[in-house]
Amino acid sequence: MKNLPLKMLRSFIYPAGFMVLGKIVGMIFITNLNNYPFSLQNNLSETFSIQFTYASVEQVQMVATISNLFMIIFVLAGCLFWLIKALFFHDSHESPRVIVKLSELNMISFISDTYSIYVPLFAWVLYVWLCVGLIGVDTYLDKSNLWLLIFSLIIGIVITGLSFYDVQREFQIKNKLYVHEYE
Amino acid sequence: MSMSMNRLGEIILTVSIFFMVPILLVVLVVPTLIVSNLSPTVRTDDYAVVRKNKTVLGTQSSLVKDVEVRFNDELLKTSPAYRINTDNIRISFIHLAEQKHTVLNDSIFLKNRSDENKTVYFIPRFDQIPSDVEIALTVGNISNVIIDSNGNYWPQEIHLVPGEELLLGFRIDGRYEIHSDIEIDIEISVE
Repeated sequence: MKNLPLKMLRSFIYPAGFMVLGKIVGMIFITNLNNYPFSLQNNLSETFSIQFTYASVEQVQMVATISNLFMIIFVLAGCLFWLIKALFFHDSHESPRVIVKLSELNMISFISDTYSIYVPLFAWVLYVWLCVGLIGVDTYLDKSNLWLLIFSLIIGIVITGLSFYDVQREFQIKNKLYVHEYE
Repeated sequence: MSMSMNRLGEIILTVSIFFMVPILLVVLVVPTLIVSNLSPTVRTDDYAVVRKNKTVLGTQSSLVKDVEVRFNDELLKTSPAYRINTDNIRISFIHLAEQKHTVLNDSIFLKNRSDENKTVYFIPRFDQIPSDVEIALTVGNISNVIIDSNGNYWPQEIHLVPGEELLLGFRIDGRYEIHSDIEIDIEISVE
């Protein structure tokens, strides 16, 4: 427990990095693909003084939509990694068949405990919702398309639902163990 | 002993939470700010165009280089609803609150003074637009609506060969309700 702040900081840095990286890669990809001329604008009256500017609203919408899509896909990729670990490689409810297979592949260390899985999983799910929020703001400002917001909302709900499902299963297992101990 | 261990645990937990809150804030707020800063915007100022090696046009007094741009001075003096910013590249049409209906006709004169073909872009920009205003640009006999009455707009481009002169008709037509001033900007840039 005493290492929790440090572990949380480590767990939060990766999704934060993936989020920013996804946004940058998406912007570079779509700008180069369509050969959009862009420039940097310094506007001190705005909250964010340095802005990437494009020639038309259509270009802005395209760049914002595709870069937001990359951003959520990058964060989703990391989130899926931890979700798969939670659902299938969790020491509290791994199947014997998986253990045998992993031991054959010399990957038994891939199985993790609850504490090692839930902290990063919580961080990645939180960042999925942060992405949804940022896409929502861009959609409200007419920068990003509505389909992306709907797509990311569905992703957020499914990811959160699966995470809750695993947490609920974990509680059930712990309850059973607790009952066994005191019977 | 058990009591003191519990107390120690509580202290550790409190200190952990005390440090976790600012850490969480930092790791959530910083990437949010970075991503928000990366959110693209439409170019609004002249120097952004200059950076892309485009010639930025102002009005009669500023930055005219390869393509000469002139406006109908007479109309500018008589119309209270029409103003040109000479400090930057924007041309602003300001509708005054007391006017119920406005039709403005003006002409823009363009001449390519360089030895190369030039493309002149007319890009409408606006913060707010009345629902029934229409702005049209006439090239020859063809009138191209650049902002229609539904608020849709299309950038227009006009190609000029060396030495070519072109007189563009400009029409703003709209019926407004009485409300605050409306400013519509049209950026002119040349490649």
